[in-house]
Amino acid sequence: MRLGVLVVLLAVLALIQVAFGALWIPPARVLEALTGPPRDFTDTIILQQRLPRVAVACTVGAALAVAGLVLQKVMQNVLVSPSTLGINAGATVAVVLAMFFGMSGGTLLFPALIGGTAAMGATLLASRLIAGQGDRRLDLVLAGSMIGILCSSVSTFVISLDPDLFGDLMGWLVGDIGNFDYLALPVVLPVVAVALAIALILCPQLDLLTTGEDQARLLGVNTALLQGLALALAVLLAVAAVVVVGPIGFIGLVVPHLVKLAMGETGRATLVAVALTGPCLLMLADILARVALAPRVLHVGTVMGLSGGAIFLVMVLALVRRGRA
Amino acid sequence: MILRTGPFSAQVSRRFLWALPVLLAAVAALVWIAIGAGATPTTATERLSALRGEGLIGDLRRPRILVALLGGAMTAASGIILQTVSRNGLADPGLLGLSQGSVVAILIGGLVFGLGSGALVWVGLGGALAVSVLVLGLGRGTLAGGGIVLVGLAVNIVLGSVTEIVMTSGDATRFARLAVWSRGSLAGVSAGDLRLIAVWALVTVPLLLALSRHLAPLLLGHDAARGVGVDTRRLLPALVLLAAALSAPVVVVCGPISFLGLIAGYVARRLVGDAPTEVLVTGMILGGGILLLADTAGRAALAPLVVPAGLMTSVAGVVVFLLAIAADRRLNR
Amino acid sequence: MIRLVLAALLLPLPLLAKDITDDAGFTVTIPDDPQRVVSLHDWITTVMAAELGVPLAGTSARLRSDGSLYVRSAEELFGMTVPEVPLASIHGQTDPEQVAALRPDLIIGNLGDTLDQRDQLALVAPTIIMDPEGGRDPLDLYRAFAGWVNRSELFEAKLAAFQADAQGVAGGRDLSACTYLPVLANDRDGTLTILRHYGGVTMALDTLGLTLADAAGMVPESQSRTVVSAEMAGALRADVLVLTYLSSREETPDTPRNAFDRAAPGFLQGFGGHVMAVERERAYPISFQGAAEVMRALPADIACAEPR
Repeated sequence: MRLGVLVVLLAVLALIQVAFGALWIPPARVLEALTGPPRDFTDTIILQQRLPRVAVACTVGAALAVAGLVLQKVMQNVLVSPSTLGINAGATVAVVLAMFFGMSGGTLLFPALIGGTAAMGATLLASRLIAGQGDRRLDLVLAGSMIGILCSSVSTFVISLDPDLFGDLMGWLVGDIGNFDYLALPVVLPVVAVALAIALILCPQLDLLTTGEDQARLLGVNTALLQGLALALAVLLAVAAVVVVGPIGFIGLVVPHLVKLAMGETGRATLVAVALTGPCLLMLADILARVALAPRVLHVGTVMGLSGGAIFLVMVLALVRRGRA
Repeated sequence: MILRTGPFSAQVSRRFLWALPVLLAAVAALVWIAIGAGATPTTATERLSALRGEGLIGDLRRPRILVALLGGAMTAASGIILQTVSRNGLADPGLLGLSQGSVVAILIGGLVFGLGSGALVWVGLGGALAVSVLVLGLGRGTLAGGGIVLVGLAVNIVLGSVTEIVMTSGDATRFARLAVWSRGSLAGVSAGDLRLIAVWALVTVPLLLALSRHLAPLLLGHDAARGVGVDTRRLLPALVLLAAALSAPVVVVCGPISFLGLIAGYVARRLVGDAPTEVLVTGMILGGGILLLADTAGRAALAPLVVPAGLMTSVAGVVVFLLAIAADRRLNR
Repeated sequence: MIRLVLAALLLPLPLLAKDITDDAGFTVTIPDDPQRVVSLHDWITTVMAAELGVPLAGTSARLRSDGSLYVRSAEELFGMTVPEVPLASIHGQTDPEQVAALRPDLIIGNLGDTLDQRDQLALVAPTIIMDPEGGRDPLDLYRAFAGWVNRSELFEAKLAAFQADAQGVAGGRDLSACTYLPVLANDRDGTLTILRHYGGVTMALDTLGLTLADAAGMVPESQSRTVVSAEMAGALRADVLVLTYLSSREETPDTPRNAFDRAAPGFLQGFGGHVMAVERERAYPISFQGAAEVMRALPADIACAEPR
């Protein structure tokens, strides 16, 4: 039932997405293009430029949201997500470096994987080191932001070496679904599909982890293996998204939280709901990006940073207050 | 140990008395290396005259060295004040969002309203103040355990997005240029910038030292401080204002230097203990030294490649910081 | 102190000197006939200096991914290499000291990359800031540059020769009915960059008598380029669409065509006009050499019945 509502919402947002763009195309004309034979360039815009954008928004939104959910389950920490753990920034710097060395397209996934994994590893290591007497969950996020700042400093430096090579990268660096990397799609789409399927299969085992590691071990779960597998899956999903659309933050943080409010945090239905809500949020942000300062078009990454940062702030305050009470 | 000089007397720890000359000597050695480092080789006499500001070498290297020392010291002092006020060792003008507040205000003031650098300090100060009030207000009562730092991080993220809006509104070249500044660099420092920093240092640092003796009671908690007769209602806003005034001019000239306050404060406390005035003085010397080291290494080590100081402090600084904590843990185990 | 240093620097210069106002609005006193010029932008200022035979004391260069250095465009057009001409800076990484070590009597940089360090550079030698992307015609920019480096006569002679060359290439055809539009298709993010001025392309096609297409009106007055969504491809009307590719990144004439096909599928096929792809290293800089090559790349069978 709730999933049905989400599907309808997704369809409506997708239709608005297709109507919006550099030029406004009335929804009636959109439906015409979707059903009738192609006539002019408007059909090209709808069928070959805007529909792929919707497809990308769905794939990437789902990938980031599910990555966030898996991370939160494995780490038992509502504040972690691909962006707060530094995975996005790590993948970004790896992609920028790889591009400087002449790589492009789908092959960028491999350096991005290395970068994302390394950044997450560094975050985990750093969080152990800075761990104070306080909340361990906060240490992790603090470490993630340190690694994130470090990575983006390096990206900035590499770009400054030859801005003419990276000029058309501005939107991607901030994160945007309007300007995505067409070249990487053929590699990234299947990867995301397979990873989402695996996440769906593993879902019951992951839910066991949320009851506590000891409990899960008693029930015969190989926790170390499961955790490792889940982390790898999350990094893969997040990194695949970064390669295509750049580091869009907070989808992975906010979406699991929203879904949890409505339908709890365990079960396959929750995972599907998260995979549906991610694209909804992303498209909503994209529509906002187009109307907020119209005629100037903002980047989705900026809108997500603004709104996601505010939501993150509320979450942090709630968490800290509860910890104190 | 008690020092007496005429009418003044102060209690000084033995560790501080050791650390102070050692650090000063290290910084002096660093200055000597920095004034000699660069594309043109220099003899000892040339270095001396350059230090007096004579010759082209003096014109180019001396402002940069002095700005690094002053800017680093001011950033470190700002961090240590914030650490004391928030009673959290991880506080830092960068992490709490003060620097980013200045960045947003400066970008808008400079790009939208076309203000000059003198006026931009005030704009940046306003931004830093607004953010510090916001963060400390929201994080009030959540100071322990990194809570306030997370509040700062969240505010940082929101402000970072505003920065992005401004930065991406021009062409790619401008984006690249602003991006370098927004990560901290001393490459553009001129004699005018040095004057600007020096004026602000002359005003803020004496105030800081005057206020520093009130910092000790704050370490026990604000209630306890009130208990021993400290007027926290006046002292805390004054300290926050001072922290903002120490960091804003540095942001105008060099951009935000990440983690410097955090690192300098941590190392200073490990060296000399907890007495606020001692931590402040030690931390400021360390902050200046670290920024000078980062800038000198950045411009000389990989020449002709010039690595911005902000990048050096965030990469080398964070790595060294984490290693230092790790080593520290091992020793204390 | 600074004034003393400046005075000391100015002493060895010839007594003849002139005041000019650069593109950033600074009034600069420069030597009448500079003998040691440092150019801080490879394919903007170094290329012009190389073509006009200006004595270069140093140039900026880019870092290739294998760590070697190259002077973009100046190498392709004039075979210039570092260290044959000494290195003044790595692109965007100007170290004033390294510039000083070259003992320049004039420094020329560009607005985007050099403005931040102008104060320091001005301590080394008179420093001129150029703004190549401010919406000014390339020939005007080139003429101003020639004036700064005492090459006005040479510039006018080269211009006359170039115009004569253009008449030969045109071969009596009246091309004024033909419109052209330089466009960069970004193969990564599906956007189009529309250009009002594009160095050698503008010089070549304007001199041949072609007209800039109306679509260039999308570019704001004080700029040379603007980025638009690929959805705007439908609004691009021109007889000649000029695409460019970076040959130093192993791109080929097909690269921009493929990029266009990905960003605006089917558009080039239904375009109707001519599509020409030229090397960006030769076509972007402001130079007669590059412009002559662009002229010759224009399809010989071009014919435009009426303005489209």
